[in-house]
This record gives sequence, structure tokens and C-alpha cells, in this order.
Amino acid sequence: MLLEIKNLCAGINGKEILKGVNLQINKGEVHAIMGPNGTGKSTLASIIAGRPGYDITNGDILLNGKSLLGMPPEQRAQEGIFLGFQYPVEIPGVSMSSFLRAAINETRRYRGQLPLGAVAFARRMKEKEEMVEIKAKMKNRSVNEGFSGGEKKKNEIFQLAMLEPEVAILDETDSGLDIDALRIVAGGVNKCKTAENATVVITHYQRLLEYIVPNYVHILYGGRVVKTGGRELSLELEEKGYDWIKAQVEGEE
Amino acid sequence: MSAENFLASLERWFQPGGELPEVGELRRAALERALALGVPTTKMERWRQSGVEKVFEHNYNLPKRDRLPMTPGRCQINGRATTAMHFSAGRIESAQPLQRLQDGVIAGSLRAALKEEPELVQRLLAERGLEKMGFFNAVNMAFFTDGFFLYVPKNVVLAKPIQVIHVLGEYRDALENLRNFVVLEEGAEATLLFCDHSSGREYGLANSVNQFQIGPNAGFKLYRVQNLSDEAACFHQDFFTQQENSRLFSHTIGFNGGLLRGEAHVDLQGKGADCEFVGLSLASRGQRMENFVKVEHQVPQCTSREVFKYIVDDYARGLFNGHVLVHPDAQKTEAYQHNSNIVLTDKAKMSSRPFLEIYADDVKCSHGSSVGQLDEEALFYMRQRGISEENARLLLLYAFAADVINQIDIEPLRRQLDDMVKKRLRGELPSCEDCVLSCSQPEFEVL
Repeated sequence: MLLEIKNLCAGINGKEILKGVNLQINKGEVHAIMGPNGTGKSTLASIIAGRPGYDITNGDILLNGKSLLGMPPEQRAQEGIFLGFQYPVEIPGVSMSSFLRAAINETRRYRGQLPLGAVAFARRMKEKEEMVEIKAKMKNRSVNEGFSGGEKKKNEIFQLAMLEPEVAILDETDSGLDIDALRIVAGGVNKCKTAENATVVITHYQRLLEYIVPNYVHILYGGRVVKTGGRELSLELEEKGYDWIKAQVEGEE
Repeated sequence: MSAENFLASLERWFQPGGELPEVGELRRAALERALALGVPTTKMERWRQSGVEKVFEHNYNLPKRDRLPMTPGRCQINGRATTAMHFSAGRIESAQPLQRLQDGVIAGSLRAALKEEPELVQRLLAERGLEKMGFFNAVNMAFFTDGFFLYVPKNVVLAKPIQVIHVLGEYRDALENLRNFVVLEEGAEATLLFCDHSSGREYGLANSVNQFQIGPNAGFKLYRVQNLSDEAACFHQDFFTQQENSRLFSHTIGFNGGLLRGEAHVDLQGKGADCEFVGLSLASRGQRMENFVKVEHQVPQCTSREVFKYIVDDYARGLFNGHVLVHPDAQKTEAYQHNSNIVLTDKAKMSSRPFLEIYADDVKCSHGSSVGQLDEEALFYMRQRGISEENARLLLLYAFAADVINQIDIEPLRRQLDDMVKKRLRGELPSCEDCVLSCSQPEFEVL
């Protein structure tokens, strides 16, 4: 198993948000996590990536059998976790290329590989631009600075292609995208898929899932995965909304 | 030592007809001015939080002629991009103290210039009058031993920047007073690089006064690099006068130093004059770095811009005082003042006082100041991509500093200082344990 989340309970400032999340993700799979607002989808993504500030009260997150919980965010990234941000951060003064080169070379050093030289790095940029059909015209610009919402999201996917993680978690990557940008972003994600990695897509709407087709759909509600199904579950949600899930869960309780 | 003792030593040191008898009268008047003023204290507005009281805790020694000259360190910049002149123990170290360069340019020791061009230099020295002179300026006038002198005649463009390296002496409680003079006649252009260093771990005070006269249509660039030991104190006061349509660019990086205090006083006397100040101060440990800039817009249509940045770490202190004074006649003035700061710890402190004083009604003036920490969200974003926290911090700090570095238009100097800033941010730039002039090999990777 590539990524395993076991009975994860977590909160922030004493408020419990995740109340026992279980997920099992294998290589080559695409998982979608759906659910209404405020049910902990972004919290789950943040906690996997190691964002500071959360209290983990129970459970574990294992990547290739290794617990991530004690690791700082950079080490989780170096182990193979990528988080596509809902709101990518602007970093004035840090150029895209020095940022990505630092990211790639620190990861390579962690894995005992030699750093990528300037020429090899430039070649990789070019290759990946072609692969995901997203031009990193921002090469000499500061990271995300002055980018439109769509450009920022495309830039996340370009970084995904450059970093080649084992698990890509895309947090609301579709929010704020028009239909053309959505198609480009989804196309980029699909091109990054291999038999060796996995993609976790967090979204409100099933529209993105027309382009990135999931093997499994999970519904997160009240801090737990309340329902898991195949592709058809997202279509059912599209049709019925979330209320029937809410009713079902509350009925059980 | 105390303030009274300091004043008493001034009297004791003074020898009429001693050093440079040519300006004996001026020196005596300056001494009297200093004694009448008394030492500045932190109760005075201009010296608030300045740490000046520490300066009077020492029993100073003036430089003696018999001290061995410093062997100038190897410097990456000089020779390639600049003509270098070295000053140590208060004097120029050169077989040829005053050089006649291209087209009537005179450059070198002020001492030698006083002998060779007595009329010109004496006139310049006396020009500013004593009545406005502050304490350290008066002390400097009474005791200066030498300084850098540059004269650029009308319409002459200095071919190569001149680098003036001052290394504070290796003896204890040194007090070195250098007085530097730069005169650019109409249409002249010159670039100078002032490097302030210290050679040992002993306390010392470098007290420099610099006068720059920038003629009509003349252009002057002044770069300053300060890298002294944590024990050293370095005060410099720059006095600029600018005539019609002249341009001034002043660029300062404070790398290290126990107490660095820079004052700049700009008199915009001719219509259409423009000045720009850019500064970066990197203070850590117990260092204290201050920039004080006063720009006086006397006449219409002048422009001034100030951008000062500070990174304050550990328990260091940064101070910025900017004062733009727009006189009633100075209509169509454009003035901009900005100070932005990153304070890295709870114990580090930054005081920022941008200040506009405007007596004309048709002007465009703005000022701003910010003090903050590193952006936590940016740090997490970078770490999520696999960049260690330490390197993410470095990248952010470097990004903050980079636009100051990128304004240097002498490429070898830009590369050198870029490299030194990276080293400084990584904590690898020594503060003159040896001569820092030779310690920095350029490298081109950020991380």
C-alpha cells in the first residue's frame, strides 16, 4: 500500500475536526475526496502535508509503511508527498527557477542522489513544459507573483510534473478555473499519472472528475469518511446534492 | 571614561601647529565648537536610541605615525573594476599619495592635496562654516589626520570607479578621523566605492566626515560597504550639496559592525536636482545599525527617493530616521521615503521614523514603513516542496535583500556583494577576523 490513513483524529485550537479518518491508497489509483464545506477536506490535506498548527490526537499516516507524523513538512515532501494548494502563495523576489531547483536538489540530496546541474535542470523544465502543455513562462518571474488564479493553479501542476511525487494531493485545484483552464489543469494531472504513483483529488463538484476519472470516491462528512464508492457516487452526488448524505449519517446516529 | 574625560582628552590631544598646521586656525575653532557643544546624549532627539553613550566609555588613542601600516588585503573587486586607495591608521598607504589621473582629475590623500593644492583645499575645508557643525564633525575637523580627496574638472567623466578602503587600526581604543572631499565640477561624473573595515578584534571608533559637492549636471554614485568587527564602531557623516540637474545615487550595505551609524545630509540647491538613497542593513548578535537621512528641498522641481531595508536578528537593533524637509519655495518637489524591515526574533528591535516636513503646497511626497516577520504561509509552501526550513528562510531573506543588491551597476561588485549577502545570511561571513577583503570567493549558487 502506498498511503494509508488509520483512524486519524485531529483538531486545531482544541476543536476536533477529523474524527477517525480511514483511507487506503494503492499505486496507480486516483481517489476523489468530496463533501460539503467545512467537513475537514482541506484539514486532511494539510495534515498529510504537515502544516504546522494542528494537534493529532489519534491515529497514523503511513507512506510506504513509514509514519509521516513525526516528520517536518519538507521531509514528507522529500518522501514523496505533494500538496497542490487551494491558494498558492506568492513569493516576491524568489524566482521560479531558483525555487524549483532548490526543491528538486534538496529532495535529491535526501534520497542520496547527486544534484541536478543547470543544464539538466533546464532540460527537465523544457520536457515537463511539453508534457503537461503548461508553459513555465514564469521561469524568471517570482513564484506566483502577479499570477491570475488560473495561472497559479497551472503553476501548481507544472511543479507537480517537475517534482514527480509518489502521492499528489490536489486541494480544490478546480476552484476558480474556467472550463478551458480546467481542461488544461486536468490534462496535466493525467499526464503525471503512472502505475507507480497515486493522485488524491479534493473537490466540491464532480465537474473535475469528468476529466480526472477516479477509481474511488470518498465522502467526508463530520470528520469521517461516511461513504466510499466508485465513479458513480460522484454522479449521484451531483444529482442529489449532499443532503441525503447528511440525512443518512444523522439517521444512523 | 566618561563624557567629561572625553572632552578633557580632546583638549589634551590638541597641538596647535601639530598635524597639518595649514588648517591650524580652523582646527582650533572646531575644537572650541566641540567643547562648547559637549558630547551628544540619547536625550537629544537625533541621538535617541543611538547607543552613543557607549562611545564615551573608552580611553581613546589617536593613530600614531610610527604604527606599521596594514598590509592591504587582496580584494576581489579592486584592480579589475576599480582604482583602489588604502587608508589605515588614519593615513593613506601609498607611495604616490596624490595622483593626477586623466584630464586634470586629482585623486588621493587630502593631506597631500593640502600641500600641493593649498588654496583649493583650504577653501573647501572652510566652506561649510562651523556654526552648523555637530559634535563629531567638529571633533573630526580638529583631529583629522588624512582623508580621500577627489577633484573632477568640468565635463570630465572618471574612467574607472575609485575604491577607497579604510581599515580601522589594530590598536586598542583607536579613534580615527578621516575627512574626505569630493568635488565634481559642472557636467562631471564619478563613481566611488567606500569600504569600511576593521583589522582586529579591538574596540575602535572610525569617525569619518565626507563632503561631496556635486556641480550642475554632474552625476555622482557612491557605494559603501561596511564590514567591521562586532567590537568596532563606525560613524560617518555625508554632506552633499547638489546644483541644478545634478544626480546622486547613494548605495550602502552594512554587513557587520558593533555600532554603525550613517548620517546623510543632502542640500538640493539647484533646480531639477535628483537624489536616491538605497540601503541594506544586516544586523545580528548585539550589533546596532542606524541610518539617518535628511534631505532638504530648497528649490523647485527636485526629486528624492529613499529605500532602506533591514534584517534584524538575535538581539540586534536597527534604526532608521528619514527626514525630508520641503522649503516654501520648493514647489513641484517629488519625495519618496520607504523603510521595510524584517525582525527575526523577539529580542531584536527595529525603530523606524520616516518623517516629512512640508512647507510648499504643490508637492508629491509619500512615506511608508513596515516591520514584519517572515511570511509563515510562504515558508510552509516552500517546505511542502521539499526545501528545508533553514533554506526556505534563507531564500525569503535573500529575496528581501535582492532588489537592493540588484541596483548595483558595477557587475563585479554586484556579484561580490551578492555573494557576501548570501554568506552573511547563512552566518558564514566573518566579521573581519582576518581581513574580510580577501575572505570571500564568489560563488553562484543560492543554496
